[in-house]
Amino acid sequence: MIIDLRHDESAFRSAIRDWIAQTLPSDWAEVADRGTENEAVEYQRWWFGELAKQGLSVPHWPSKFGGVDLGIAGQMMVADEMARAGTPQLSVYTVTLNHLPGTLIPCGSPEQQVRYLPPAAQGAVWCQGFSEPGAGSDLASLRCRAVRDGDHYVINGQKIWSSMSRFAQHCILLVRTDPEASKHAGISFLIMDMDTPGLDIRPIEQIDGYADFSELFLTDVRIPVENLVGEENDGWKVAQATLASERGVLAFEAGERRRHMLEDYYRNAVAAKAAWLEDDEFRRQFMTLLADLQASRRLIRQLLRDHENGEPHASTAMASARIKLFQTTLIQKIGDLIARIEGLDGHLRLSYNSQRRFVGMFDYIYSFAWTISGGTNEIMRNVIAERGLGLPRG
Amino acid sequence: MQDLLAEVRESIATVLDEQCSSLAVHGFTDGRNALDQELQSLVAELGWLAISLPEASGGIGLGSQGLAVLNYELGRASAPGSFLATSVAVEALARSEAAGAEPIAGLIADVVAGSVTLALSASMDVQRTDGAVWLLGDASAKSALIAGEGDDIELIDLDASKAEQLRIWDDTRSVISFPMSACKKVMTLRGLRPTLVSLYALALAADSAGAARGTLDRTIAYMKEREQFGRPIGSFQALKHRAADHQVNAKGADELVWQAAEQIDASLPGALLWSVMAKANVTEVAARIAGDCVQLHGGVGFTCEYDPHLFLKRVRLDEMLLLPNGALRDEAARAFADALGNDDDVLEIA
Repeated sequence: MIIDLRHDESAFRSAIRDWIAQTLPSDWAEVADRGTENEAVEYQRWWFGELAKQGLSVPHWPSKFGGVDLGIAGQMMVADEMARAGTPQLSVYTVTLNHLPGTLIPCGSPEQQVRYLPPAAQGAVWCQGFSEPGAGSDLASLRCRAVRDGDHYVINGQKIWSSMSRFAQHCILLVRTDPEASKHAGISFLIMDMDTPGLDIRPIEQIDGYADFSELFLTDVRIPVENLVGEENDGWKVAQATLASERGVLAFEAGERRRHMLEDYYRNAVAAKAAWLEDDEFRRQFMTLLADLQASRRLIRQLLRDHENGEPHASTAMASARIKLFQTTLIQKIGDLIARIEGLDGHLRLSYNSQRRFVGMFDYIYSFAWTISGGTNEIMRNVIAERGLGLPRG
Repeated sequence: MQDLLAEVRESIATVLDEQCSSLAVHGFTDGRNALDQELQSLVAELGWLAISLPEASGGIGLGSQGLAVLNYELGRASAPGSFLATSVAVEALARSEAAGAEPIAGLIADVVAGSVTLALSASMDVQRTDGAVWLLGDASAKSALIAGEGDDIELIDLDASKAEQLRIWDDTRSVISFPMSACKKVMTLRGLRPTLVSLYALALAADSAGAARGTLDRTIAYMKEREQFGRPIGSFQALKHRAADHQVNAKGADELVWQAAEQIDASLPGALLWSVMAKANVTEVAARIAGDCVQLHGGVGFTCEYDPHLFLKRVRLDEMLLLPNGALRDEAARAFADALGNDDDVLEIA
């Protein structure tokens, strides 16, 4: 397996490069763009399986659950090679790869770890049931109710913004077990199978035409008590572990992918003698954003180095908040520029299944997913101002 | 090297916090002290102009990163004086082919000893119709570097009696006008322009990033103290969100300074590209931050008594020096296209 070469950077990288060239069809993106959304998800499943055969699907996991404890430097090598080759992005596995181990390894019981982690390493899809219509930025005000009934919890309520839940086998779910307690104190963390009776999954059509998100309606859904993660009413603490699980490697890969996309965009423009290169405003704005992307990529590397060096959580959390704000604002500016460069042609609704290149208005429209999700940028500004700069709370 | 740089930064910052406080700078701009001269002696005594210089020129060899650290801290303190021009010019001279020979070797030694200062062409392209050249530097500067033919740079000697001190908005620095007829050419430095432009752009970016940091830190402190409607104005979301944006953009600006400095020191193909892009982006970010810091101060931001105007005027000057940012981005765009054509990876980060 390629992962066995991880201690020799150049051999490791070149093995990944060669393997991608042999394994991934060169026209995969064109095929994906012609296909349906479901076919694109199936393609991700296939790609995940291929990665798993080489030990590259969950290398950052502990060895007893299918990984090799690959450190941040090694994860960066893998992410860098994937970005360089423009491989399919594993959006359907975001929760599986990060939030699930981030929760179960520190907070799950040994039985839960053994039961759920190895299948996840082989491609079981997980989703997250945290947000509710009335609990977005103020997540702790969630109301989805769980009542103990013998050896089960009975759940009634609603969840929203549950990414890829249509494709998931399991869900990490936050519920209210004690409505009398203060809002952070009455929350519990459960694992729910997505085929449980009483669960209704309704896709939400997004502004980009896709339906990654769904709403989850739960009516008398019965979840065994053994699926409780951590203690009852201690779910908020478990959820903090979940949310802290992404340490910046995803942001790193996103930044690297954008670097290659911008580079290719410019290279193609030069080769085609594109008219926009003669437009002072467009050309100069492009260079402005290219420089900002470089700044963003440097900030992410600094964050990852700090993680590796074991910097205190308070300092890395602040750097993460700053990077989230800087990088997502930048992605939106890049989308805005591409949309203006592409002009009327950019308004043709083309497929974006491959997510591999700038397609007209697409990146601009999709950029709002970046600025809104993962803590809206307004929440990030509060965090940076209050916890980072020490400005008083309002 | 990174440890040494951090130490150097710390020691410069400590000295400037003490010697170049807000009070001292206001004393200088009000004509009540000669802070620029005092700093000039201090800089010579502490050897700050030798930080970047190669050991062969009597320096400690911290290169462009040293140059960036020095100018960043000077910007953060809005320090008065001609250090940016002098530090860039002496570093460029030390990197010229003629560095080891007279008269340049002697000139470098005099600069390090603090007995002379240098000036730089305020603009690297504008030919003034009145036959004068505008220089960034003191009227007493001994020599200056100005644009020559093509990639050449001219070293000229200056006659202080012919210098006209221009009255500019930035009270912390000096721009002089010199009749071209009074400039005495000392020598032509062949092919030095890309080096000079890179260093000049880097120093301007560093000064602006430092100034943005300085005015932002002071503004955040003010937002915690100043109360209206019975609470500190920093508790208002409309203001604190702006502070958060400035904080994030200031961090991004810092990274562009280090990106440029590392590229120059490693003589990478992206050295010129990243220096000019850093100058263009950072000076604009700094102008936005410094402008909003005036606004965030409210009425006192419009007074001379408070600090924000010093920084705003300083970064606005930085923005206009060297070359217009549009022209720099055009130069970067050409360089980027060339790099792609040559398969030079100028986006790689070590």
